[in-house]
Amino acid sequence: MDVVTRMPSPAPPALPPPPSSYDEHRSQRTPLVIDNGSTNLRYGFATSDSPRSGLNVIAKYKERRTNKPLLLFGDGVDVEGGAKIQARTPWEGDVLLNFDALENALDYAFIQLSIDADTVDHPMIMTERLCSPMHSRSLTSELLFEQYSVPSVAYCVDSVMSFYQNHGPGADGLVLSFNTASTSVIPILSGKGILSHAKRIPWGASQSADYLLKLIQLKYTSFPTRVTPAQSQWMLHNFCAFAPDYVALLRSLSSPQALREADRIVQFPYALQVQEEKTPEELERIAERRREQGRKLQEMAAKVRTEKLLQKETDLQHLLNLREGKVDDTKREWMYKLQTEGFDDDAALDETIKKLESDLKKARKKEAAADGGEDTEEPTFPLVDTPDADLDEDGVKEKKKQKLMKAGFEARARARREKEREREERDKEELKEEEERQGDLGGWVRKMRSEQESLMTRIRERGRRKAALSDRKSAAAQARMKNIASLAADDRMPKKKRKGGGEDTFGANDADWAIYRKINTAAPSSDEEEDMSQLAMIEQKLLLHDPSFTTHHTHASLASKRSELVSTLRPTYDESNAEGLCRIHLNTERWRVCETWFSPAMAGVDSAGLGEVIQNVLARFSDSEKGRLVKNVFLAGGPSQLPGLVPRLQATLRPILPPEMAINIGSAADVDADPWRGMARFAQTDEFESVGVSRAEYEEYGGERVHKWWGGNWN
Amino acid sequence: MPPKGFQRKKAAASDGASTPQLPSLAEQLSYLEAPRPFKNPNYAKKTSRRSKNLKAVLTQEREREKAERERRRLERIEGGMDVDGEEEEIPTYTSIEAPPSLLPPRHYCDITGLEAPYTDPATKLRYHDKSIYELIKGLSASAVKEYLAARGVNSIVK
Repeated sequence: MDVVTRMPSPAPPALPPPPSSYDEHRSQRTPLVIDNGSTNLRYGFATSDSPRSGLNVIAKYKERRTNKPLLLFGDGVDVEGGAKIQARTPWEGDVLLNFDALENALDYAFIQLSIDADTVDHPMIMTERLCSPMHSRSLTSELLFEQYSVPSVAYCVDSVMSFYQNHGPGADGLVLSFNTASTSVIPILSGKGILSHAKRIPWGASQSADYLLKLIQLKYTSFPTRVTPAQSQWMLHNFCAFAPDYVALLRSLSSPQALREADRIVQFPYALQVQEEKTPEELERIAERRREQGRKLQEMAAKVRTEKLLQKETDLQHLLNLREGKVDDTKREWMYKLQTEGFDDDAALDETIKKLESDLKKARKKEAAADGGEDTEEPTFPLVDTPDADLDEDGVKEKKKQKLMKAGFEARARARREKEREREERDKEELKEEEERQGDLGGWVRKMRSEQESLMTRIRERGRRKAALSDRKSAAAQARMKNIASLAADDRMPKKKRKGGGEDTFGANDADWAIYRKINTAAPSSDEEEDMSQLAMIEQKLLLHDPSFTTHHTHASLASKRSELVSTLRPTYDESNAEGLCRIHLNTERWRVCETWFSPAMAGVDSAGLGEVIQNVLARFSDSEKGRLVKNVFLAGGPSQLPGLVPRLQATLRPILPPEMAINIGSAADVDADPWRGMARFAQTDEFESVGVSRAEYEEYGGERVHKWWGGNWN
Repeated sequence: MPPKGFQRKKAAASDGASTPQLPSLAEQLSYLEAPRPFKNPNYAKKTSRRSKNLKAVLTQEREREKAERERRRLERIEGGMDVDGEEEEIPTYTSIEAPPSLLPPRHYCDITGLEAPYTDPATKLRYHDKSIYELIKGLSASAVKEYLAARGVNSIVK
């Protein structure tokens, strides 16, 4: 199953639709409806059919080129890297906290609505978080009343308004609100949210996307491109689903075949490396050029060498002439001559001549060797056998020297002979093996294979021992410590025995010393290298002669072989396959990520999951109320559209409820806009006026006080 | 969407040499200069209140809830029988938080996500089978730590 999906490249943000006309609403006091969600901001007048909407994010920054300060909202933030860095949202996770960003976002909304009056003179209805923290509400109220001078504000809970939009006033139901950074369970009886029994799970779509991103990063530790949170969000919405029975699904997935079926491949953009193809002629030309260069260099070196040699020869000739001329000169003249040539005395001159002579000799020898192969001439050592008594002082010295040289010469000859013998032996062995192979190929293969097997076992054994030694408590490590202790102990032999002539026999057997190698963990084992080289040799022979032995059977490929399960979970691609290297395989993750809503503990959040929380919430109601609630389970919020949620909830709820209790699970008709539509619908009823906080009330009681009503918070 | 691409191309082209005074897309999108007559010019926002961080807000909320509960307890003692049951419990942001799970935790493989009947005693990683165990053996200490962190287990630094 190769289902490859390309990661879409981000589209440039579109220009927003032109601002709508304000004429219709000017001094009409049309209610203004704002759904201040943590992902999207939806706004508009209550009389419109649908809201205007944009990502609830702003960026204030200076453009690099023109150095002009800019302020962007929503999708526009993506237009430039500089803006993205400066992006701010009013929400911090689940809490409305950043009021500068909120002010900028509301400014944008009011500009788009073309409000040109001195104040925002419209009664307002705005969403807030379920049981919103007082701080958030009081600052929002302050902003609305003092900055925009609105006449009144009513706060409501978005999912309750979505329920109102879908089921009308006075309905019963259990609202499951899937928000960006949290998930809430809100029971509703006769249209009224029973917030005292509501619960919130600190897990939402953003946490799930983060979890998916973390899993991907763990699975692909060296992915060539950076996977962004936006991309992981895209993967969450396109590939992930709820499993009706997660454990059963996992069991079915443990077979590689099923895993392969479940695999989805995400192809990230990649750049093909253009490799320069060189024709054989070109390669030949390059090689030729290189050879030519080498030859030239060699020639130059040879020329320099001969020049030097010539120079030395003339020098030597000159100095010899000088020395010969000594007899003709007076002592004084001679000294003068020596000094002008740069010598202190006769000895220095002699030494230089000697040195030159030996240099020349060496150089000539080298030349001869280069010309005519090895120097086969055997040196003679005439003085070695002469007794010392027959020699003078210099002779003795010379004899010593010759002795040394002779020893060296003989050693070299011995080594050469040894090598030759070895080679012969090897040849003989090879020949024997060859005969054996030709006579009985099957037997030979069996023998070789068993040898390879035993070597591999030995290597594996060694690896296991090494691993065991790194653990202080393992049997191998303990045995080693025991060995060390007994070696260090003085009385390896009982005292009695020692007195009675019992000797310490350690070392009598050569194998005794092996203990020191055994306890030394730091030194690299020479056996290992030996085994490896032998193994390589055997494998090479097998590869050459055994037709059934392929590269897959070699130790290297066996050791690096991954189990089928691992290679299906995360198939590997060849280093040169740029396309494959930029692929992400999603399989178990597709359900693992959604499962976190039902058990956040999987991702390290110590909270009950959705199923448990629903059970807790229902437990506080009487059976008849319970029946009214579960008859209408209502799903709100974007993540509720992930596939498989309804069957999963059915599977979760059925066992915890009496069998005669009917369970109906339905979703909002339009999860994104329904809260706003419900608010707009409600804002046009007569009841709306009674639930809002007026300006006078704000000034009297402060920004925290609200009226308690069916769609709003109680605190 | 062709109009998008068209817009962008135009904006990019305008950055060139011929007509540099044409605004870029970001400049077109910016609403910094848009008039805001609806704002109160005399409103001075209190920056100190606005700059509260999340932790402070949640702590404040928790303390509020505690104080509220205490107040109502005292009221109940003073008022005796006549008030009790009348006022419903007022939920707050901290009080509606879901409790920790009481169900026995299921074990899933840290590497594959499959069921994990085993736990490696050395790394404490949960694993599915022998082949995953071999993979775990080859993991570096930092990789092990990251796998554990994904499950919310923060290993103790030795």
